[in-house]
Amino acid sequence: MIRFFDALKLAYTKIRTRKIRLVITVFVAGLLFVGLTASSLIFNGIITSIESFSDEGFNKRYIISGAYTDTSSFKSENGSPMSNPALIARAETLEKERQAKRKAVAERLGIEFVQDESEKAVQVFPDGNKSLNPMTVIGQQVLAESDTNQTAKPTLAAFQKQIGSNASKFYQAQKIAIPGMLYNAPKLTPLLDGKEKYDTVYAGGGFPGTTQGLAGITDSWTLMDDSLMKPFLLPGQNLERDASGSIPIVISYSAAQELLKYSKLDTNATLEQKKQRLIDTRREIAGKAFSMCYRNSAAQFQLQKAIEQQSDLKQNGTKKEYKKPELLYDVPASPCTSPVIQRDVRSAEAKRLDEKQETFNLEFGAQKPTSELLKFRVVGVSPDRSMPMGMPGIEDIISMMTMSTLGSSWVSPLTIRDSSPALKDVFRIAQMGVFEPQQFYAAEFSSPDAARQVLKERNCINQFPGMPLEPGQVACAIETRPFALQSFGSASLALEDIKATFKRFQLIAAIVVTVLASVILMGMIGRIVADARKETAVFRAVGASRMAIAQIYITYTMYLSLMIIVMAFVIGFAVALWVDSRYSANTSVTMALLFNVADLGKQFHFYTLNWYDVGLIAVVVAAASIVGAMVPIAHNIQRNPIRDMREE
Amino acid sequence: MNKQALIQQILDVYDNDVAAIGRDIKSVIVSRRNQPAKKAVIPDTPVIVELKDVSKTYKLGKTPVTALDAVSLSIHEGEMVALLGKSGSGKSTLLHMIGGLDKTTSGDVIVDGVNLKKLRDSKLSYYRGQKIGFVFQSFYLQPFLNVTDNIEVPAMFARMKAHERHERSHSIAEAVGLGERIKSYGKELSGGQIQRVAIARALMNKPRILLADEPTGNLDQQTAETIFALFKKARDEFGATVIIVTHDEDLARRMDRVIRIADGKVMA
Repeated sequence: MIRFFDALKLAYTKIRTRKIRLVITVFVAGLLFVGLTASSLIFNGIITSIESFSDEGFNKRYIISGAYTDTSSFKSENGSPMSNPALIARAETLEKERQAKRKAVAERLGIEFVQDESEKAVQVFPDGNKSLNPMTVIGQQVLAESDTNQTAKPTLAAFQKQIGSNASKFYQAQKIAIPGMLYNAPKLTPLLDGKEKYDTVYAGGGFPGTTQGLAGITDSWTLMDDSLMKPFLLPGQNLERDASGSIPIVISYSAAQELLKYSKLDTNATLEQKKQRLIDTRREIAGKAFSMCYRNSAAQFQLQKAIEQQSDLKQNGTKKEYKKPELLYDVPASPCTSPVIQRDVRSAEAKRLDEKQETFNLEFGAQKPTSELLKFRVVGVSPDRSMPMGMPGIEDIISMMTMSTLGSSWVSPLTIRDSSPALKDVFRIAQMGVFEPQQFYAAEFSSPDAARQVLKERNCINQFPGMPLEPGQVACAIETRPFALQSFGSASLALEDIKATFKRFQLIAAIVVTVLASVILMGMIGRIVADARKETAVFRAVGASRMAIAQIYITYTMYLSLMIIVMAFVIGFAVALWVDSRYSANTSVTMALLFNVADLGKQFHFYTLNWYDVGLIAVVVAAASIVGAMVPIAHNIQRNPIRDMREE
Repeated sequence: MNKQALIQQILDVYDNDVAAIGRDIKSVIVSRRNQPAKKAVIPDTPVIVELKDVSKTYKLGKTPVTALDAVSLSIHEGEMVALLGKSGSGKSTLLHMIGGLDKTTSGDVIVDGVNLKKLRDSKLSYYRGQKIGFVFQSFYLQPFLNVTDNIEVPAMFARMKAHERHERSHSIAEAVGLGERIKSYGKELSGGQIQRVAIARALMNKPRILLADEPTGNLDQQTAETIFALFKKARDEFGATVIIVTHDEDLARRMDRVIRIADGKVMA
């Protein structure tokens, strides 16, 4: 071995040879490490920024939520309650009994009995297969009975059992049923300027929980414990129901814009414009009242009938063949009331029969038309949830990383649920909520470690067919471990998982990059070594041992590593800064909303230097260089110096 | 006189002179060759290099070639010896054997009492660094090192301390007449200066034996004279035994002893 500085001096002479090839090699190998460096800088920037924003929201509260998803229906044909033979048999029995009763009552009332196909609890397909129809009275009854008969249920007690004794407090929460999944689903229609618009269709339709604007309430509204909502209240707001009985509610940012009649900001709006919009929205929306009309299924049906009759009248009223209905309804005279009778020329007999039919329907489960004006008071604003189509962008990814904040864009206190029949109806539990559980629970811990331990040791995965479990994962099962757990509120717990995932990704990427870079560097070092064969022979002649020769080339390799590291960090930083300049503004606004931060000067940055990663990348570069140098060096030091000199 | 006649006269004079010069050179060469060989004076010093029945065979493609055939000889400490022979005679192979760069197929090379065959690679490197100084025909200087650094390369491999190294390299540079050029790089030096650097490099670790392979082969007569003087100086001032491989009869004659080699054998 020779002295370190002598090795540096001799190795440096090699840097000065084949400069173009050197530059190309360092650039190409460096680009691979630029990817690693930039991803590390950006990832750490995102994590640090999220933590910084998150600290202002839930401020070091460590909460885990758990939701039960019934995946049994996906596992086997018989697993689905809809095709469960026992339930179908039970439904057929009940259907027979009901039909007999309906016939008897119809006879008693003196009306004609007509079997309504859509009311059949069991559907028979052309291939003979049968399926339970959950959107029928009997279907609902059978499913409810089946639910009652189950011994293991996803209750708060089951959640507490799964979580264990380390939690300091437990909470309950409930989401609104997904439209279309609820039998006799009620409807909420927003009133703008105190008016109800009958020509506007307010319906969800996107992925559950992602509907924008005021209509978003129909698939996003969630009831939570006051304690979980408090961090998201706007200044001066509280969760009490005031004298007018208005319901406190956190609404989506897009709904707030709609209520305030703000036009949509241009996509090229500046950070200042976006911040100003956020400031204006928060200031103006705080305490703003708005109303929604609740109509139960029957009232909705009645209104729909009135709308259709009026539409028909408008379009065809002047035509000769148009026959005006004997009983003609007009849309309600005032918001959220029943349709008014515009014309009633029915005969006494017809009226009597209609009344009898109504009595008959009510006896067999039909609802009385009911509507109620629900008054709301905005106490907070939350960002809209979005489900990106195709490749998610950076903002989508960050949003997904922080899904654990409130978990919904529309939130009210859980205590309102039982305060009116209308709200009870809105928050009815669907009997076929297979897509997304309506009820979930939360547990609070005094330390992040306690919460992380539960997430690590007591979690489970909702396993669907074709989805293998990773080693160490446990499938959720109603009898043993029903609830899939995730962090809630503060992002800090969620970020632990994301960090661990990134570390795994980083390690795999580092290995791949090391292999690729080694191959590239092997070419360069091999060429340098080959060029210096005679020089090596002379060095050997003047006393250099094989180790000394190897040392010179390893030092040369370290020079290459240093150049690659410098390049990786310079370009990596440039990439991270570019990403920051492009996405920081939008993300800062989104995060300010997401975590309800008071300081709107807070910036979301996409770069943070993590010294562990810097060390890792430096080690990986050095490893790649040494691996790349091994073969040429080993080959070189074994050569016979005389042969190399003779080749001159 | 017309123009054509003038040109003819110039050409006649030129032809006569060139012919005369050629004749003079030829007569000098012939007279030198006809001089009786200088009688070798073997000094009364211990033997430093001893070759016993050394043979070396290597393969040229599939054909075995005998480079050295049962060579035995002794060289005494402080001797200046020329290994004289035609190209391919085996003289360079012999030099490499003594320098520990190549191994014998059979026989022993004993230098300063040590049989080189018994040395491991690391010991051989140490031997080359401490006891041998090599001077090559093509100099082999590192183009990106200056004169001082080039001279110091063997000392780097010998792990000599920097200040000691600088002191010695400067003194050797002075001795070989490069005192003014120590910061220069190879491309700024003449052929003779480059060979001086190579000699200085060979002397850096104060070797007991200086081995030179055709050291004047690429130099003009005047520079070759200077280089020979340096070898003499190396022997006289540094106490080195000098062994030079050459096919230059004139250079060989000026050494203490000439060992003629032909077809891998030492001629009587």
